[in-house]
Amino acid sequence: MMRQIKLLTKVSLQGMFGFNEFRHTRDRSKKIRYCLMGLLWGLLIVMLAGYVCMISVGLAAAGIGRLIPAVLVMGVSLVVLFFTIFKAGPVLFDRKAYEKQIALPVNVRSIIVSRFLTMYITNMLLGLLVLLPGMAVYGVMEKPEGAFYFYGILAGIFLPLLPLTVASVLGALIAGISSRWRYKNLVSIVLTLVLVCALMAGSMSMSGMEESELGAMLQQAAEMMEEQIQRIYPPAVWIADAMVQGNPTKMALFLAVSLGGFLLFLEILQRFYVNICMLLGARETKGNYRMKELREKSVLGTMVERELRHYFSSSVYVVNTMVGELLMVLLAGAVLFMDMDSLETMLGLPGVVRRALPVLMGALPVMMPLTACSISMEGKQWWMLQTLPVTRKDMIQSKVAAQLLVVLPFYLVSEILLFLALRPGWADGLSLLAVPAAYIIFGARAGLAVNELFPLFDWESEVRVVKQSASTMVTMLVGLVTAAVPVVILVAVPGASVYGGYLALVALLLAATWGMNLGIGDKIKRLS
Amino acid sequence: MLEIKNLTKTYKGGKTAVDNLSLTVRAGDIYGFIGHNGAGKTTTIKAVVGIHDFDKGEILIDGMNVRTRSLACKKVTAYIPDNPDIYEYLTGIQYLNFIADIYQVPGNTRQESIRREAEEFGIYPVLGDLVSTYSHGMRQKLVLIGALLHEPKLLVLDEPFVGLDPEASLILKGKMYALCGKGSAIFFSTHVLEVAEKLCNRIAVISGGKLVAEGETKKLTGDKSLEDVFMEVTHHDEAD
Repeated sequence: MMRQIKLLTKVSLQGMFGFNEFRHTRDRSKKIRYCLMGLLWGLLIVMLAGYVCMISVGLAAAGIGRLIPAVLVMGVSLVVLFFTIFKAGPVLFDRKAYEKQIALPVNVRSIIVSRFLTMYITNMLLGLLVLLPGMAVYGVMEKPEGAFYFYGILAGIFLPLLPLTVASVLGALIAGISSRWRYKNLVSIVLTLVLVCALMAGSMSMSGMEESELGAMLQQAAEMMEEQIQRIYPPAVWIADAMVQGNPTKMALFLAVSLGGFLLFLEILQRFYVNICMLLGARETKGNYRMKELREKSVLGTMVERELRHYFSSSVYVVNTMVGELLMVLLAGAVLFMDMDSLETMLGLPGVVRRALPVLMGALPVMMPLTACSISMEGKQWWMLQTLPVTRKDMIQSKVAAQLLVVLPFYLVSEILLFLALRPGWADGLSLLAVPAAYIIFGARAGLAVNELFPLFDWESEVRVVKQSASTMVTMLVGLVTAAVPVVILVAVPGASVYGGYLALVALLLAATWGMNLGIGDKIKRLS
Repeated sequence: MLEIKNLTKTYKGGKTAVDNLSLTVRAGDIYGFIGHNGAGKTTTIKAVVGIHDFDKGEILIDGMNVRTRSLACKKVTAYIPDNPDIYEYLTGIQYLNFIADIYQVPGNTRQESIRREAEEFGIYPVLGDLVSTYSHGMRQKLVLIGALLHEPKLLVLDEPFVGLDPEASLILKGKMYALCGKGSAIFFSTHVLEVAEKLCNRIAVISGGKLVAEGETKKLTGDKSLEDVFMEVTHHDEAD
């Protein structure tokens, strides 16, 4: 069985991030693109390491360095849980891969373990990337014994097991429940989004408590933080005790719970796995069609309709690209139901929300617009848009319109909540309406421009396009930069006119959108 | 209807897939395009329908250059690929209605045409089901119906008989004759030489990206079978 697991995992990893294509392609431009992606990843890793070091140094300087391992372990576990909830179900129950693998002489257990391992390896790398810099800072500042490093490495390797198992259990539950419904995708989308909202609300309230406690007396706060971590995620404290105190019992407890949880999940899942996969793959056929009146639509109208049908047919696509919109509504709701001071403390953004609320509102849906992968999502069906008599303009307009139609209800709800909460004057009201609108329009077009530069058609799983492609990563970076720069300027220059800043920002965003429509994206593509 | 002049296409990595290829398909022609696997058939077809760009040469459809008047060329062309990867998230009728909207086929015409063709191909009852539930052959039939909706002047098919049942193959051959009878032209690739010999009035043989034989089917084969001619010209080419 180990051989089967090894082979299946290897094949799965080869497809991930395009490693195998990079190794074997003769296309120079593709190699260059992968190298640029590598550089981008490197940059992100350096940024992550820097961020971890900053937090660790901060804790150590405040005299509560002993909390570094617990805080980092807790952070990694939450990140792993949050990000794998989106993909655990689609990866574990990937129907197309299942149909290919089940015909081979491999057992179900091997298929499940190989899929779990594929997610595990990437999360383990993430865990190590966070833990190692933190351990280095702790090592320099707290001078621990050798056992600290041994337990630290051991923790880094096994850390993702428990959160990944929890995410997989939730993913399996969602898949299991939705497989019994006629509208499987819709049920899966709704369940995942509800779960994500609950997690986001939970993590927001947790971070608020940490921030407020950090402001209090440090030693007392340290004890409270420890208590809080113990309450929320006890394994983080077990690992921290093993690392800091060299306590082997706590490490054994962590390993036993992690491995035990995983094995129990595996044992239960393999009993239902085939049934869930078959039910998820089953499509109802009626075979009794009667011709009804066929309405004529314009070329653009029919293309927008097709885009929306495509979008809502994929739960991975919807769940991953709707997070920004959900956050926008959550933020507006928080503005309505909380006072500004508490909200800023909860978000860890003192002075920022009241100063740059329209920018924050606009920035959220820009992080991951559906257009960031809408060209790649065409996949093997890309030939259709290439051969049908539609122009590039039709294609761009239909994809951008689909994104705008998806965002519109979230935008309207958010604006209503904000207007109810703030009862703004005309200038503030206009800012609240115009700045997010400009961001949304810009984000829709920018996502598409980035996807034109970094298309990916030869994929096997939608997860690869939506979560792991260069296009979505670069789009996220573009969104981050376009949001961070004005926020930093507005906060760093308190004397600057906020309305002047908003006006300039809207003008810049719309000018950039106009520029992309003029074909700057095309020129960049030709140059690259 | 279709003129390919000195077409050359080299892939990244240096492989020349099509080398200085020229041929002409006239209105009313059923033109067969045959060759070994990897000979350059699909590359040529993809260049004609706008999927691939090319390095040298010119392609004209109904007198229009595919590079400069791409949209006008596509409006009078229909393409059926070897593997019918079509929108799985649409139902059969949604797919056909989408195609009809794109080609601006009037509502009453499309309704009648879809009903007639779908009944003939035997997929009318499943038009309300998702394409993801269709077999390979059913998808192929759906693509065929979509391709015929706007009565194209040029129908380009890549291995159209793969996956079709014998009855559907017979219907397709009938459709091809009927379309050509109305003045359209058909350009298709195939490995089934018997079909090409019986169906086509002209045939081109491609080997290693180069055109090695071309002409009216009867003149090309003479008293030999197409199979003999194919082996002769392709092996002669390899020996050179």
